[in-house]
Amino acid sequence: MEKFESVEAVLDFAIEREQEAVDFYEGLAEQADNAALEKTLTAFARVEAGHKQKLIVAKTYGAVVESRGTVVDMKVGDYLVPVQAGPNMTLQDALIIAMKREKAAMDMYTDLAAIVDDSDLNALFTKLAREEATHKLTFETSYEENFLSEN
Amino acid sequence: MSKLTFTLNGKPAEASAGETILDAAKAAGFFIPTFCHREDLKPFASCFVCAVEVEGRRSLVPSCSTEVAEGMVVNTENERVKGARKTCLDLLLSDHVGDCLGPCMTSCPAGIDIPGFVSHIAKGEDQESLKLIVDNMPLAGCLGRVCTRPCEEACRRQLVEEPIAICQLKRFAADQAIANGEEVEPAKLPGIGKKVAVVGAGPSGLAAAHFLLMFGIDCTVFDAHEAPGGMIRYGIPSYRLPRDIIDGEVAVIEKLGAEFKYNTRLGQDITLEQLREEYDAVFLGLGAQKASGMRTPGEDLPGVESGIEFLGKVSRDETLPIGNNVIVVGGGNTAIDAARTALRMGADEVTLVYRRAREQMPAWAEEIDAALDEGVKLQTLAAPVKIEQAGDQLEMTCIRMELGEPDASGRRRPMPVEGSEFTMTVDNIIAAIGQNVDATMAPGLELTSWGSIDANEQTGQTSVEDVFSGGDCVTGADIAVNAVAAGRRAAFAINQFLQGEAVVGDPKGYNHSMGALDEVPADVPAAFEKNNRVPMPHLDAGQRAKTFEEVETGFTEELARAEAARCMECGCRDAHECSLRDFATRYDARADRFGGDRREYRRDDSHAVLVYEEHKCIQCGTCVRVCDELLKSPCLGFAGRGFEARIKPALDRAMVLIGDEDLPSLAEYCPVGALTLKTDPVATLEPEAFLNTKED
Repeated sequence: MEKFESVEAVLDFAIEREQEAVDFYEGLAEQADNAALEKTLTAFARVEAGHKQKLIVAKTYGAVVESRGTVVDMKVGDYLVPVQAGPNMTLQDALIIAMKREKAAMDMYTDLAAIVDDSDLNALFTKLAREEATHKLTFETSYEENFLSEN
Repeated sequence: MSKLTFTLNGKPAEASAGETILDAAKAAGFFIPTFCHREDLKPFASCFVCAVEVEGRRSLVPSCSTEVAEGMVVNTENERVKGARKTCLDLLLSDHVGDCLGPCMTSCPAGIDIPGFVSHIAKGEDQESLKLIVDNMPLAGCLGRVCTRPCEEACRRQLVEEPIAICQLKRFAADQAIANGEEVEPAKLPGIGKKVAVVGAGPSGLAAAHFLLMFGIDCTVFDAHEAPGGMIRYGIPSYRLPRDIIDGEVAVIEKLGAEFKYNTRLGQDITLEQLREEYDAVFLGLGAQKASGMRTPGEDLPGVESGIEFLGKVSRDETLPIGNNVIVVGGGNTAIDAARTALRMGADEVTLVYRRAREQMPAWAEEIDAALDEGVKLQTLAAPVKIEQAGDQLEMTCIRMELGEPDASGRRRPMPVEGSEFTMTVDNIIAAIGQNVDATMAPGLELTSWGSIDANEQTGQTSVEDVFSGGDCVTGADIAVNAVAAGRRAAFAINQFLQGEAVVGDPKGYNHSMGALDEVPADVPAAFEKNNRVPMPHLDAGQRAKTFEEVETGFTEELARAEAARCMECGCRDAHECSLRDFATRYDARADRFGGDRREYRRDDSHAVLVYEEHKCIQCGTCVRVCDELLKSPCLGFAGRGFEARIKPALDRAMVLIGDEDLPSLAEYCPVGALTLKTDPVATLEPEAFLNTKED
């Protein structure tokens, strides 16, 4: 765990992941044939850019990464078949991709929290995991309202 | 007589000496609203809605009592004047109590004349009833069976006991025509030499064709299926909607002049570009016929299909084989239809699996009850996780759900209970969890992020100006009456487009309402005695569960008359002549701009022929002056002062005690619906009113 020897290093890592997410959704947006869906995916990218900015502020000013309360895990995306991004993808596809991506990030931080010895780092990873859980919940709520309304 | 010259709205004008601005402006072709001015009465200048601007005067002046002077510069239509009129109207509306149109009519997406057709049925005028319906909406028999009845949710009768069975009465009117061998044809204007391609013979396409033909526009209707109806044929089982009812109502549209071309798929047999070249405009009513899919592993195994595929197949052949044990996933109307259909096809056990609680099922409560009565089992708070092949059968693993704590919106969302997985072994799995739009067959149109067609809500016009669209392909899967309403709106817009007019759809006039059910004055329902809704006769559960015979057998004449007689006839007798409503529409007035108390509901129908509704009076004083100046009888007068001023019968007696034989003429003078004749019906649509849509 040398890589995560300090809070700063952890935040750098998390900032990189958020940038990857920005790039990912921008890439998805470019692939979409439907202009309105492209806009929606671009909005996803902007949200991720916001998350990145929040982490940069935390790193620069030594602010605490705030994430309070219990985040509900509806597990809506957990049981769904993964989908491949492509020009014909639908909003339903895009939300499945997003839910699964956020779950992967949440699981990663949860795992990292479990293996670091330093209590500050453990607390930070736990908070980051909770942040990702919040993002996942946003997509799950949208999926539930829009694609599970009759289910 | 010498003429005065003055300036009216920036142009030179003339008036006779002593002539009022109102009369001079009217003679010059300008409209000035007024409530209190009558040519046979002395000027009164109380309503001030006729106010105009005279340059050099600080305040606006009442045009009804201000005489034109030489060299006067008058503005009757500038923003200051319009603003003053709107304020005046907003104030009058702020305490007005009443309905222009009944809440049933305003809540019906298709805007049909409900009090009108119900009233005809009550009087035994069934043909007139159906005529009134079909002039404003096609598919009366179909919607009379399958509509989810937003009108009944708004029906005031539920404040007495239960809402009127509006939909079932509509079905009665349609069924009576069939039973009596009568043909009721909608009104139709002469042809205008234009033709429109309608793609999709579902509710929106059929409605668009119906109204386009009434406007005198030729229509060809293309559909990918072998028969018309779209979702009402391929998504609703015949035990709810017999196919001969669909065929009969489509035949009316065919008789109006529609040409139908079936087995013709857009994007395959015809293209949008071809249609645009061959026709003057195109209407797309493509529906939302692509199943959403559970996205669960194993969903593509044989024996698993979507609700819409299943219902479509059965619609073509009701004798298809099905396994003994069937699971239907979902809690909407399609899931209920699929479950009840599976029973009728011979399944011994049909289980509905739904991930929330029963109270949250979006299906119609009556349909859920009917399904349970027939033997359908309900497994709530369970969600499918995976499906696997198990020999000749399918094994579906579900996880139990529990409702979580209420979230910020107050909703309790279903959450999986860890480790609660269980399996069910069945022969067939039908997933009825929703439908999506597939608009890829109409390239070139802007779509929403949902993949539905992006069309103007009021007109249905798409990003391509000669292509209009409506129904499920715009809104996503929705109720049939909304699709019919969208087809109607688009037909209005297409007619405007083809005539070179502004494309605005079917704009509605101002409508005042007493408000939501809990805002209705208690005296309104208190005037009616309790008389419960007539239940719809139906086949017993045991008798019907294994056949496709229609479950609801329809009202007899006796039952229909009794049910129709329950109608409270909400709505105003004067709505089509009411000046307040007319001016409110012209000046975009609103009832909610100013707060404050509303008037007290006081209805006096003690007079033999006249009804006085004090809560609708605007205090213009016309009736008082008619009594004084024309009838020479002080039978009506002002009581109280300022905001408390009210017009009342002399000595505050009931109207019946006045007894003046000329009193009925007051109804003619009242510019709103405060004084009306009992013999006048409540506001209804004129049978062919919509065919005369151009403003005068």
